[in-house]
Amino acid sequence: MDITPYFLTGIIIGSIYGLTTLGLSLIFGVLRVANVAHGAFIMIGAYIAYTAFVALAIPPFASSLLAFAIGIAAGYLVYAGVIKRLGKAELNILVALFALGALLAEVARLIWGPDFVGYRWTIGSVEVAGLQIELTKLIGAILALMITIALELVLRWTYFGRAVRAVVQDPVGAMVVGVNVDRVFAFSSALGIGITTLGGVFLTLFIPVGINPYMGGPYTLMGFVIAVMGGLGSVAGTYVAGLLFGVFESVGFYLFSLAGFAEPSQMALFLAFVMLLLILLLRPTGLFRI
Amino acid sequence: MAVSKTLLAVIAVVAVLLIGVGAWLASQPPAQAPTTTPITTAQPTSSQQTSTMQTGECPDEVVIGTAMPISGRYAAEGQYSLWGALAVVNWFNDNGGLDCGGKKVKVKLIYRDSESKLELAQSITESLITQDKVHFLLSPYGSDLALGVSPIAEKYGVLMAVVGAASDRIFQQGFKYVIGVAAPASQYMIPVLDMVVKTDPTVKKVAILYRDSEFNRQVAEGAKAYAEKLGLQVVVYEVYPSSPKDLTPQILKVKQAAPDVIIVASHFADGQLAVQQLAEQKVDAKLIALSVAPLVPDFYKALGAKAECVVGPSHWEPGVKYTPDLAKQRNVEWFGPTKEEFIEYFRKIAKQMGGHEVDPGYHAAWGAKGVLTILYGVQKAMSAKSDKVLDALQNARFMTFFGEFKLDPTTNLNVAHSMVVIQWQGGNRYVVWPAVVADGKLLYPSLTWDEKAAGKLCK
Repeated sequence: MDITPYFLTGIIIGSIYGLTTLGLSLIFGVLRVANVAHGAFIMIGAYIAYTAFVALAIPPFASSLLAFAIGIAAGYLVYAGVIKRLGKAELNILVALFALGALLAEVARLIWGPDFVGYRWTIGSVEVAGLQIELTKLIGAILALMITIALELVLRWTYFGRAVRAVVQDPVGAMVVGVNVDRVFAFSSALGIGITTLGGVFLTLFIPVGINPYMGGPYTLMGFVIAVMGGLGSVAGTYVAGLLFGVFESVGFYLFSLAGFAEPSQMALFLAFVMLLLILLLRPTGLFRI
Repeated sequence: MAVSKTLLAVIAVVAVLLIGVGAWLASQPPAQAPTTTPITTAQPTSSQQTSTMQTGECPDEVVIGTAMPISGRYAAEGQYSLWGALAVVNWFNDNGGLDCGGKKVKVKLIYRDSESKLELAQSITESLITQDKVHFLLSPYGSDLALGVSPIAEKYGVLMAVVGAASDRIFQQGFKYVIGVAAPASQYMIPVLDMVVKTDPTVKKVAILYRDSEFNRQVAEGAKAYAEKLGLQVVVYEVYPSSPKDLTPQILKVKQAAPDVIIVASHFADGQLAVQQLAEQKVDAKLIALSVAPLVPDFYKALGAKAECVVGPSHWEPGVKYTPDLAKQRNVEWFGPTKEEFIEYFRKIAKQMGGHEVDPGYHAAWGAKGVLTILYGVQKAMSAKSDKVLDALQNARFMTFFGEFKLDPTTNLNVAHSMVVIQWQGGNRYVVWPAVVADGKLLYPSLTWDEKAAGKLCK
């Protein structure tokens, strides 16, 4: 077996890594706030997909719109209720968001219970280079790319996008030239968390049986690293960093396995993080600039 | 609101370093467990175990304490373990109490939620001993938590029955007061491998995947060692991360090796993911065995027909047949409620505390077995002193609805308990091994993924 199936696997999962991190990067880049409740919003998106599918027979691609809308509302509330109120007290914001993440997990436990839940949605598969690719995953990966492109276009070509980029580069300067920074913050928080919950829906195509109130933690940590690597606030950079992360994981496993390492998946993860560290050292602003 | 760029960069670099070092450490082989007791303070304090008893006599009430997690990552399992323990406590109290030398003694279980956090489990355990003056302890669910509170039980000389925690490491520390009531992790796959070689002597190749955790590593190591002892060839032996998103790379490697038997030393979500992706990549084998995941009802709900024919080892199933009659046949003493009584009491507790009736699984039965073991020791020793109860247990052999008990004084493990193997057949779980307690028959070889996709059931 050659390396191609491992590369393809990495690209597909990497596409979802990129998508689920876009929101974190946007909020980080624009508001300079580390959203430590990021994983909790992914979890909410996953439960929306599960409930919509099991209770209402709505497939995930349709329920992602609902998740996006709920995420936007939640993102606005997070901005108005936490970030704006706490103002410059950055550590207080961190603590408040951490508490919010824990609260969301416990609320999810009350609503959906503590057990792992999941659903099955199969629409067939295609074989590419010896790899069976589920169509749901393939479509999910392609849609993730399209959402990224759409968001990039919004940031490049709309007034809102230009305002966001101006705030990322220099908030005070943006304010001086008449940008309503408060509104940009609110929009960015809403959009960021909206994309995060939407990403949670897409994630269930990959982990259809691992939905749990406490599933979010690892995504916060991984998302943080991918976002920094891609360049804070850079949509394209975050997506590419997600792809790289997925490919490092998968191809690294194959190569270390061939080389006879006892635990190739751990070595691949190690390699992935070393590469990220190197990129950060060589390009502290990340792969891409906004 | 603005976080300085320097702070962001520092946070990022620290996060990368932590994860990188963590991943590197996780890739290292585990250190050898110490074989001697690292704790030197093994004497009970003077205030211990005097609250409700007179020395050398049965107490008025036996008090057991536990820092069981009923929220956090172990919420579901901890809750079931607690309900199982409470079912047995209620059964004794409804029947007048524990018979202790002719005196009826009430049983009390004090529990506090450790929220699946080690530091909380440790402080609760210490407070149960020093403030609540419990006579005995039930460990919290989870090997990490149970291992973490063991030195505290040992320090105060309070007997602790380990429930819901199977890591061998807990019992390799040389703790005197920490006893196991079920099989440790390294023995999980032994009945599965026994079953497969006795069913099909032509089986040769085994692939083993395991989750990167203490418990799963030991399940895999035990499976590998036993497979090799049986003369089988382990063609894949691969770890995967503890919260995997995608197991395709590992599964492609299994596909290439074309094994007869696939063993996944998994927990809940990752085990379900493994089956899902074995199906996606159409990796067929004569038998697919997983730890933990197949024992959860949601396994079939989530996977549907893909779960058909999958087997897994279990400490206990509602279908097992340990009865007072079997105890008589084997010439051992029967103790505690029958299986039917336990199930009835468990359902009541579940409805009262969880809002709806559910049937007990092995977590619940394991929790119950912990209480039963302690109470049997109290009855035999006619005392609630840990040393006396431990002595009594070391010379005891008895049967409960959970199975048999005999303590090995060297390892402090229950060596009489044999695990059973379940198989999913037509949407139901049947005990298929060993035959003496089975309520179903193994279907072997397993259906192929194409057969399952065509709607064929494993029966």
